[in-house]
Amino acid sequence: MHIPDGFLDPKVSVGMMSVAGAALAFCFAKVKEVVTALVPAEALATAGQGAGNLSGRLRRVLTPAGEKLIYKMGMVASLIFAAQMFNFPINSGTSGHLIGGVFASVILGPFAGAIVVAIVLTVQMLFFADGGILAIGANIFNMAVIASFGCYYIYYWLKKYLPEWFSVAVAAWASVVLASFACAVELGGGVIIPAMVKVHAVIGIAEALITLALVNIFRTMRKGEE
Amino acid sequence: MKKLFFVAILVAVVAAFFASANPDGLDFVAEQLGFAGRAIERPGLPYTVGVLGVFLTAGIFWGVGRILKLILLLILILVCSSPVFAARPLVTDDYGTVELGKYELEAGFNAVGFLSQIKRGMAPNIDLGLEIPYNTSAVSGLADLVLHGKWRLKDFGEDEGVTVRVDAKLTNGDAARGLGSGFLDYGLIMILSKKLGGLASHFNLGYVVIGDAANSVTDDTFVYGAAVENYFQNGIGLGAEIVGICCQIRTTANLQLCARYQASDSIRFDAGYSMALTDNSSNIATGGLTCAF
Repeated sequence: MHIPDGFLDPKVSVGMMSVAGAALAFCFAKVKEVVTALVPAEALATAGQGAGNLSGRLRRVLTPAGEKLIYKMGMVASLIFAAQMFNFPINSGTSGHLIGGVFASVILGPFAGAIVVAIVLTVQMLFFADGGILAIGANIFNMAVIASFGCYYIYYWLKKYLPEWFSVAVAAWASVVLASFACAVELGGGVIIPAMVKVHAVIGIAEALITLALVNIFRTMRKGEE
Repeated sequence: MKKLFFVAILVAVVAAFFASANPDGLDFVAEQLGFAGRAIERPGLPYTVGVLGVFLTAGIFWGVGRILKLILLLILILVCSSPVFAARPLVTDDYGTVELGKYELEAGFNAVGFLSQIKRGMAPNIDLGLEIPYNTSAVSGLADLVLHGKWRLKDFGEDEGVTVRVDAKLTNGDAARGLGSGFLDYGLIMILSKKLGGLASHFNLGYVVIGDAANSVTDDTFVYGAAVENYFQNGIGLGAEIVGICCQIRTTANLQLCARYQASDSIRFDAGYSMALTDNSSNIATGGLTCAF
């Protein structure tokens, strides 16, 4: 679903860049709050760090739990990058690959999840020529903001009424369909919308299965180490 | 947690062989509805080296330096290092500027021709440079000159800081004979130097506006570079870098390994070999010297 350069109207490209940029900035701020803590400068000075600071001032420092979360984000990002390379064939001559948005947000929460997917997309765009440079805003919006951040709330809401595994599967399926819908609208709408949604409704089933498997693998591996 | 990273590497290696040749959902729809031809294809790294991507994505979170260090530990043995400069033959620039009133001359050659550069310190934190490329391969003659202006914005400590560089490529080369592009290009490059685990590391990211107005949207280019280097007590230094460009019509990447020998305070010899990571760039060997006066 990586939109290459040339598909999008330049106005849409620029607009999507600003929307995606704003959404990511919001997610960054949220994650920063989680991984850091405000500590008085005196406490740091007595601990041998940050000596020479004005007293009474608060400083932001990375907490041990925050560092752990960042490592975890790196893990999830590399796993999604690797898993996205698997192109599985779908009937009628097309193929699909994992987006991983729901996997990221179920494991890491919506804010960190969106950042992880955005980083994966940026690496693919810069080094692997997958997805256009001007289209990066649209791609981040579809796969990070909608599929990861947005669909986390589908999972979150469904989880209240349905078994967890089922909520993950439905959210993963919905993430592909909604992202393809957004993608079709950005490309100009019209006949593209039914065509895109139809193909991706099938690809979404594979996304749901792979996401379930990945979430299970991740959780069992975590348990084994704790 | 580390186990998962190895799972990712394994998946990447396996996936490289099992990627389906069928177009993906979007390409499929684009073909059906007849707008597939509008896509601007640019070559990039093939997914057969997808493992590199796994390292890159994890590296962004782990701190790029730790990953680079891991790879380079195979090449470098950490010894107490002396001051370092990302000069020839590395393409990646360092944050340092030439001392006020002093000159630095770099001269080197490769398969394309000779390349020399002279820099002068104009202020305590500003230097100006002129790059003079002279081609000797298919066509010989003076190619387009490049002017550099470097302004050191901030020092974090010894061998660490941030610099901004402005480049302008002139149009003196004979475009008809392939010695120049005929366009005035200008670029802005941010340079960050930082010590990561005892290794001097330099990161460059810039944007170059290509003077060709007709194709400016597709030609304007991001340039990137990341280098690590280390000097040993006997004056021998080793370094490695990944450099490339990324624009709408192509993505390139090269890995260069280099060795340098600091013969005296003012003269340094170097040799490097640059390997193409993408099929639209090429392998190239280079040698040269740098002198300060």
